[in-house]
Amino acid sequence: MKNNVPAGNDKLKTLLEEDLGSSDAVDEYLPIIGKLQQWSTPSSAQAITDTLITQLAHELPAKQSHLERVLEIYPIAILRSQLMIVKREIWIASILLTLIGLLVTMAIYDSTSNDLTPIAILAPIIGAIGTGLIYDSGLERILELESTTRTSKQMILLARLTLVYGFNLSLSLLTSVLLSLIQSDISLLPLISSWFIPMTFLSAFAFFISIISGDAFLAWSLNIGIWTLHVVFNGQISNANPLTQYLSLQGLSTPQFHPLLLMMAMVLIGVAVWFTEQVEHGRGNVA
Amino acid sequence: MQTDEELAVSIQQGNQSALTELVNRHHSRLIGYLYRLTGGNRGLAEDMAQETFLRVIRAIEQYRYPRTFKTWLYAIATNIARDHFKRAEMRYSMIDVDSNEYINLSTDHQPETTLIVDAETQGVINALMSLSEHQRVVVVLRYYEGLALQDIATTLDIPVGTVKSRLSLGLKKLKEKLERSGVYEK
Repeated sequence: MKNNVPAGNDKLKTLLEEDLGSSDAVDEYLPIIGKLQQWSTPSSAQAITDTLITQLAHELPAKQSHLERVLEIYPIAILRSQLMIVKREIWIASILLTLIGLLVTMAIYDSTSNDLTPIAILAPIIGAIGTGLIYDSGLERILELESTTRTSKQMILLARLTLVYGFNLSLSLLTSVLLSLIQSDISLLPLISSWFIPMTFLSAFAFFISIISGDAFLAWSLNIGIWTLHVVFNGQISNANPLTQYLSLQGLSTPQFHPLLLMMAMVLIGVAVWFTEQVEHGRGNVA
Repeated sequence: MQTDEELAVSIQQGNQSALTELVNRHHSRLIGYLYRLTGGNRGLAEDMAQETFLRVIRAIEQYRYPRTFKTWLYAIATNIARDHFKRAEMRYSMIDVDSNEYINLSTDHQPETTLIVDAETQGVINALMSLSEHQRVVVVLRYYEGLALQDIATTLDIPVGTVKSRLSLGLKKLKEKLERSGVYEK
């Protein structure tokens, strides 16, 4: 039987050289490929392709607007999914406390006093309560979501933290802007700096404690306790004994300590997220 | 001209003309690939190609640019063909071997859908069908579809080295079969 060498065999030679390495092997197998090439496929009718296209058109995803496409982007989609799951009470509590802070500040603000404004006192508490409740709220749902999607529980927790902290930060910023507009003797930047770092640190600390202990109440009561000590004893610092100085935790509102507090907040969040897996395993073993 | 990948992204946004263009580009070629995998069963190859495109469109939101669309398409088609072979194998294992009932494992040949070919071509088909399914897939992708080694590796989710070894073993076996059947002489 005649052994064909395929037409246009340069391309096939190149393929074989790449596959088999040696030129001897190429010479040996080129006729085999030639035999394979004898088997041509029957031409396909365009009508079959057209019928398929008509059928597939019914399966096409609905056209999306630009906004819908943006909302489908992975990080945004996670945030959206968590927005509906985070406890509603967290949002309501944050709004109410911020409103109280706004009204009380407007009512009793004294520009001659060095004390913290009510909004500066409340903002870190709002932050701590919100983030402390993240892990506690719907833990089963986190695990359920993790098992049904490719999203890890760490990612889900970070999304919730971003949402809750972002919401509280926005509320406090809005309130500060409002106050600075309403009360001409309130300066915006000093007001923001009086609550921003304490709020960030205490939010991170509450998040950390809630994950380590698995107890939201412990997390936010510990943070409220720390902040209350600071607020109460910081006012008495000028004539304070060593115990008062110690209890006042001066660093929380001392500008020199702010970079350190910010770094500690990031470390606490990082450690908490990293430990989520271990904590969960530990609880599983105990159970 | 838009690339396959750009068309796939357009399909994700519900663009029908992109769908038409992409199917027109690949449908006929895909039937050819499946036709050879199934040992020349045209009807089965057309059904599998249809199933492949249906799966592609239903899963189009999972497509992530810039993954090569063609490797994704062929991966789905190969999986469909493999599922078919597995089902055929299960049916075969349920047949009482004493009854000597005949079943073609890989192709499920239907007389009305299988084209009549000359004896030499039939020898080539038989040799190709004697390869293991893993070897047959890489041989068809490489020497009929002309895919690059890396693209075959991506399609089948295996290392390039494994592709090469399957090709080498497949060619050796093909040569033996063709020699034995008299289709090829040294």
